[in-house]
Amino acid sequence: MQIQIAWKNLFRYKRRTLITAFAISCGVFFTMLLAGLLDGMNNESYLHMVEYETGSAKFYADGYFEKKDLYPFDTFIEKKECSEIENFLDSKNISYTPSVLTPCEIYFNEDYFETSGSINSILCGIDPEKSKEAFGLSECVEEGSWLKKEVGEPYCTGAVVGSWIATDMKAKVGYYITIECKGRGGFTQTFDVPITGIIQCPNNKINAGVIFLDLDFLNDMLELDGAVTEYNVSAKSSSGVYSVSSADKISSSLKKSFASKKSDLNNKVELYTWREINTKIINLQKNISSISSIMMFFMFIIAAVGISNTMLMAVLERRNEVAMLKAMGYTPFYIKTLFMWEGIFIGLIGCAIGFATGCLVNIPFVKYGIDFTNMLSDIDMGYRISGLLRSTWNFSSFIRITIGAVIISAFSAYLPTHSTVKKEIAEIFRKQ
Amino acid sequence: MIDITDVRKTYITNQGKKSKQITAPEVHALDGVSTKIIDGEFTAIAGPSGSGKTTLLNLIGALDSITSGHILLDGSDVATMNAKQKTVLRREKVGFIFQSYNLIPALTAQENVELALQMIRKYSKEQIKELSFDILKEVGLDGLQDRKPMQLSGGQQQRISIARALVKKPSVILADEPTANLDSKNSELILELMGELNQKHHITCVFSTHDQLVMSHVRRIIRLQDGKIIDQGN
Repeated sequence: MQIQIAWKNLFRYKRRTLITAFAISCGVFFTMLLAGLLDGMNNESYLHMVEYETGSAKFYADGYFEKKDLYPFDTFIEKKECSEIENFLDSKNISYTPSVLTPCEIYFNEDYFETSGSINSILCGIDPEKSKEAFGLSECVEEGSWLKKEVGEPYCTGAVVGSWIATDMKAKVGYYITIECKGRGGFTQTFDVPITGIIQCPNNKINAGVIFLDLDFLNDMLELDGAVTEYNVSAKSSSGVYSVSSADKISSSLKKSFASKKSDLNNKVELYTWREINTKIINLQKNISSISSIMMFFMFIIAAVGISNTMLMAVLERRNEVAMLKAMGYTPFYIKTLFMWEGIFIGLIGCAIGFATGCLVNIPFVKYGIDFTNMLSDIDMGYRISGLLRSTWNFSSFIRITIGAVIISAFSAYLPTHSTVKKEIAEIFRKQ
Repeated sequence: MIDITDVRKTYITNQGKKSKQITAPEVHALDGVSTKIIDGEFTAIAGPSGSGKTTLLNLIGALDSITSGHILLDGSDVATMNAKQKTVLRREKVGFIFQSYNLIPALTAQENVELALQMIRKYSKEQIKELSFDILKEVGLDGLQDRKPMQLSGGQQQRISIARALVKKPSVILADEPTANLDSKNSELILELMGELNQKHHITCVFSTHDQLVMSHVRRIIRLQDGKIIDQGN
């Protein structure tokens, strides 16, 4: 009977029920969208990290990891260790690619470009063939082609540049650029290379600041003697798909087997998972998500104030009813629960409306995404997203929101009822 | 039987509470009221506005707390009861009828009557339905049990509230100006109905009223003025 009365009361004040449910549905709608977008941003960002930047794990020479943000050029994995790492990874049947990273200055002049100038960038020497197995980079070349050796040539002498650098320089495939960087031992090396490809990758860090060269070519130019700065282990699953879960699986099993490998290699190189390498960025993303949670919390507080106000009005308007129920011998607990049921029903209706509208709006966000290219090319928030952002279906957050909304609604109904019901019946009648 | 002995009810006005005066302004709504109402009596508490008739009715029905004195209802002292005991008393022994009916608009006539029995554990669902249906028939609302209060006239709504008060077979029915919102024809019908029910069920009925029509129907009138009984003749 109690639930029946509560349910019927909703239809007694249709407009009020709708207004309150609308306030809740707005909270649910925006929270659902925001949670989906943030989750989508995080997921896409993690995926782009493992697919284009770090792989599932990296081998560094001992002592390199701590300084890696400065791209130190005095700590290398030497040739001997390189072959040991390759043997180890081959035995595990995991794709990988060696690479060399160093900062460089790219010069361009009016012979090819509209203006002369220079741009700071990160030079990445990478194995053209192995990189195709380890990363999804070669699939992202939008103009020209990925690094490839011509027949009879020892290496590829062209460069593949990130699309945002290319846009800044107004570069085209075939234009020559001059690269200046430090070689092993500290000498300065300058060389000209033609742009053979422009890469437009979902990972903004690649587009914004990386120029790829053939590792063998760089080995010659920078006198590396076969040494590299890192070995990238692929995050590709056995079915050939890049995913965060396969990156986690590969990195953790690799870490275990590398730790159990008792050899000299363990003293000379270190293995780090992609999560360890990207700790700062992952934490930053988590912080952004936390800030958004706070925003959502405040959004709900505003909704709660609205609900409380409506429920307060509802209880005050129905003081006579409360008094009559008390006069008939209904306990204060029963009357409070009756109003709380009303609050719960309104909360559930609001959640259902919010969920339905949230789903409708989220469908195109999940399927087609939202293009943030213009915003993300100017701001670096740490997310590895170049433009298109896809939302996700964050049902766990919806469940949390629903529980929160229902509790708030029930509590909003409880407080005014409690203060009314504790009074003497005659007093409640008098105040009506 | 209702045995009222030296009952006083004093209200402290809001003005007094706010001004934090040592001796806050007090209103003595009832000032040493003593009387007895025997079982099955058809009585009215009459008097002008502010004489304390509604207050006395509220105190008998445990709707308000007594400042001093005693009210024995079927031998139990309402003055010394705690909130829980008062709830049980109201649930089982007292039926209320108010001038504004106080029906729940979302419920049908029958559901409103059933509401009075829901909290009494001794009735099954079927019994509740049956008793409610029968009492509605008895008050002349046969065929209207599925109508909501808004679909009924004032007189019919008051009949529902009579049925609601009567259905649990209370020891006493307290009616606070039950005809105040009704026209004279409907008032007459309601009073006749209550008189019949009083005789049939032998339930004590106490009215608070200043309506001459009510006074002409009851067998005894307790007259109040300024919180004191000035006359309680037949």
